[in-house]
Amino acid sequence: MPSLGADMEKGTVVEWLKKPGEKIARGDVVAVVETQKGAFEVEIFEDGVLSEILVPVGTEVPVGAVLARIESGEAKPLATPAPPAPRPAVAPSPTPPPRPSLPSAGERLRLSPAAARRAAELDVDPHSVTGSGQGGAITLADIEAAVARAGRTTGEKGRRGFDPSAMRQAIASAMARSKREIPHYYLGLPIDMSRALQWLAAENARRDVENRLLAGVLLLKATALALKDVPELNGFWVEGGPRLSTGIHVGWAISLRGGGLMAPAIHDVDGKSIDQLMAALRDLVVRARTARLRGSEMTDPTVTVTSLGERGAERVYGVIYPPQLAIVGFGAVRPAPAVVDGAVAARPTVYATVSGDHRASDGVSGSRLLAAIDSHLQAPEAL
Amino acid sequence: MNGPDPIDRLRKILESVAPDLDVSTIGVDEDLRNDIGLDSMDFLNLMIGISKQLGVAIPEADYGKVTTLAKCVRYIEEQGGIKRAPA
Repeated sequence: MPSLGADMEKGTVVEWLKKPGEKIARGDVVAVVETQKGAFEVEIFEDGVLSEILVPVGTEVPVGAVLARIESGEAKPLATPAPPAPRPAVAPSPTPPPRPSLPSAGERLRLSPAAARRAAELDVDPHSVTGSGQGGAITLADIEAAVARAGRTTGEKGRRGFDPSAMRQAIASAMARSKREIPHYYLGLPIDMSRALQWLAAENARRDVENRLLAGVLLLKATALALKDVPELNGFWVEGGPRLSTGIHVGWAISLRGGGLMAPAIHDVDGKSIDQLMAALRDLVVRARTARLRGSEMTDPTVTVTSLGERGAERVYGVIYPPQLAIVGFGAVRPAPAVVDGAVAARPTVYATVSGDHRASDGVSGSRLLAAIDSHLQAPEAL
Repeated sequence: MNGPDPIDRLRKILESVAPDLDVSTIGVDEDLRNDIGLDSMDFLNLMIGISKQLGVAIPEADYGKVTTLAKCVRYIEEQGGIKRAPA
């Protein structure tokens, strides 16, 4: 069972896509596992023959358990250890925090017949709904409100294996661990986006609809190039020290409509063209929303970028995803006063921030990173 | 639009770009970004779908005119895209 992040302790095999005796090649998806963050595809990292399945469908096993064996001359266990991903230096807390205020499955739920029927229709687990009726009883309105909060996703159309309350728990444990262990420092810099947006508008005007670019891709590429200039923020904190990464694999934060958040990797961002990144981003967003992500995509990111998009707040100071060393944030692009040639002018501005792990770097590195992002965004044609 | 209900055709396109949405519940006058929660990537994919399936390429400068399903239909009809589209 591969580890799909610092916050994962166990997973359940929900599907085997290969049978014993079948030939498999490096990169093949052999199984689907369900975790707190939904379902993920497990790929293998060598060629061979699947000789034996050790964990049948429906079985929950801890991270590190051997799922199957691959015959490749010599027998090698599958997916153990986890793909070349950093293991958290500190073991996750032994006792997961108790789920507050949710009645346990065994407890009798106070639920009106109409609410029960609606819950079944909408595929809502009434155990996950807080009742507002008498004595905490769950009403029809509570069920509908729960669905509305979940952003209109239905069980049938939603992500496979996705349980919003489990996702919440996964985020809770990763973020609590981050704030417990990582001494964050925070820096911010408003960046003039006039040139970048003019370049983008001119590009998009001459491109077919399907080849249009989004401003987020410029932010992504500029961040990767800046990390090449300031490598001390790219990597992991492992076993009491920083382990910098030469590859710049950006975890792109994607907000899920059913609730929750994930930040799967776009690999080697610094070496990809804007068009390649646009394609990679499109692919990643669709797969995140339909739970077709590879497990390794969850563990590969060497840094996280969170871009709030055009309807977001002005600035975001992110919480570092352990064991990464930094998270870069971008607020919504909006007009803001800027001093240009000694006079105040309204300019489209994005507020860029970095949260850095102070064990691994100092504010001077973070400042250099933001300055480098700014300077790359002033030369959009070179991105 | 000839043939099937134009709103339904748009809903089908939307369903393919945002498979995690229950498109049948989306009102024709709801704002696709503010009310439905489409992000810039979803919205671009919707524009691509409209271009491919209904033959209308909506320039970026006109994105403000296609913020709801009803407005999309109106815009597409004004551009004459629907009539050319197969029923």
